[in-house]
Amino acid sequence: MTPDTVLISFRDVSRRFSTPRRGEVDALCHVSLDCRAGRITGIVGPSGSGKTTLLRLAAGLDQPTAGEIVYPQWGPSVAPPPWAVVTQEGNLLPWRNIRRNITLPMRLRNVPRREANRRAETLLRQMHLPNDVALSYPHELSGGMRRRAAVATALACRPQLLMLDEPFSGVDEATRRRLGQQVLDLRMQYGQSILLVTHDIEEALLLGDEVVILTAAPGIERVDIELPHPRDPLAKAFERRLIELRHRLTSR
Amino acid sequence: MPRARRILTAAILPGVLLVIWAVAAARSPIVPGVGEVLGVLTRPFRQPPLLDTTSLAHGTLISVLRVAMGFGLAVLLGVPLGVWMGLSRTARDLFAPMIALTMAVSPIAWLPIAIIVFGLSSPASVMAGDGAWQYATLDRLRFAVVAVITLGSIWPIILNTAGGVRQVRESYCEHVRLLGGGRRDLLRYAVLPGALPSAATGLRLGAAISWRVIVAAEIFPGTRSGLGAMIATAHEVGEYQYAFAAIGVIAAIGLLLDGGFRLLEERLSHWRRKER
Ligand SMILES: Nc1ncnc2c1ncn2[C@@H]1O[C@H](COP(=O)(O)OP(=O)(O)OP(=O)(O)O)[C@@H](O)[C@H]1O
Ligand SMILES: [Mg+2]
Repeated sequence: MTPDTVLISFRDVSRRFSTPRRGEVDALCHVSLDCRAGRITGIVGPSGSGKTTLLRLAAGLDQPTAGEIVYPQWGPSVAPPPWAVVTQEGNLLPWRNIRRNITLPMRLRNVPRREANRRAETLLRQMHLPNDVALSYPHELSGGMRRRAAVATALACRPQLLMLDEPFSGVDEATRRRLGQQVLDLRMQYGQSILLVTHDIEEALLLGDEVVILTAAPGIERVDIELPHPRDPLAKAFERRLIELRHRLTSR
Repeated sequence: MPRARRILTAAILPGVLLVIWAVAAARSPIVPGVGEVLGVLTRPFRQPPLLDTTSLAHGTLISVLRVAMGFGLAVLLGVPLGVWMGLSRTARDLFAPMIALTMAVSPIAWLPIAIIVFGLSSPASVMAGDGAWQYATLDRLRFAVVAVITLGSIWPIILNTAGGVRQVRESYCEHVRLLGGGRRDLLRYAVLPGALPSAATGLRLGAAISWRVIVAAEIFPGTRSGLGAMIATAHEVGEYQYAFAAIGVIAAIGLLLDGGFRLLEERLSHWRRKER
């Protein structure tokens, strides 16, 4: 797969929810966008702008009420799905310890137990989780550790596309930086394609190859970020882009 | 000393009961003394001379075996049925009226019907036909009682398992599906483990019901043996020390059963501690 191959294409997609108390809610309105291979696509927008809805649609967990979503590389329904999703809550199964959570996708792909455990260890290290976390249960970890374990589980699928829904919210600044660096490493070292949802514009600018701005207004705004990595949030060029993005977000 | 105080508090009512018993035993010729009851309990293998029953130990064995069979069958049938009901609307509609109906009636009430259906058949009669009487213990495990135990204890198992299955969060199923799991993987990795704590509660309730029902069922003619029979017979001939001893054994086993299943329940639901 060459870089810039389109993995997922949203074509004029809308998603409307019928709710008992708020009537018809347009979570997503006429969105067209391409998610490309080998890139980090950052999705930014305020709370309630439809970011999670967009991700769920992309992952096939939900269907659009108008428009269509196309997977040029994969066809309509491939199994197992070539993508992995980390939800906002950090989806881990509470009755499995962390190691057994991380090895689950490998079990489902018939990876031998020993090999699976070895890879789980590597993934834990990659996510900077101490080794003794492996035997803990999700409820015994902090929110940030849980989030990282969820990312490790997603990576265990060896996904062609990694979808992250605010993976770093509720994590302290230093850890957040480090996790961001890890996501960037995935992209730089392995060419991992990533769809990254965040409400933090600076984070999207720091990591994204392109940034998609989502607001309550119909449609989206797409901005290519061609700043070279590693990006310095204190550099003049960075600050200029940040101000520009902020302006675009508020003026929509 | 809060701990010592709590133990003392807990001991008050049993202590009062003991005093009342001792006073009653001293004043009434019918009420057996503590010593007499202990005499029965410390010689469990002795055939009661004035009672037309087997020994206390043998009676206990029969009651326990009956419950083991009846409750075991209830688990084997109830858990899969509960899972099915949890998953399928149709299964729920199919079984709900039956469950409501049978649950409203005490299991003991079904005993005459069970005796009509199963007659005097037992594991021994299946094995040896007309020679069933040669296997004294097995022949007493009449299928009629076993069926009543099953009927009495299967409902909490079914209902709690079904409830547990329905409570498993959709997001866990989604997660397993996204990781590449098929329908069977969903069941194995999301639905069943998620429903396990609730199913364990069902088992605990079912076991408690079984143990309570068995004693009543054993007083019935046709299924008369075991600890229940010992109580009934002791009452008829006025040898109440055997009734008291049997009650003691019933209480002890009941407590053990409840404690064991509580432990199992806790083991299976440790991960829920935070969620509650
Ligand atoms: N299943 C649903 N039923 C009804 N309304 C929904 C549903 N899912 C989302 N919505 C509505 O759609 C809108 C967008 O929700 P969404 O979760 O996509 O926002 P978000 O951008 O992810 O917000 P946040 O940053 O807070 O996570 C909201 O108004 C929300 O109430
Ligand atoms: Mg969201």
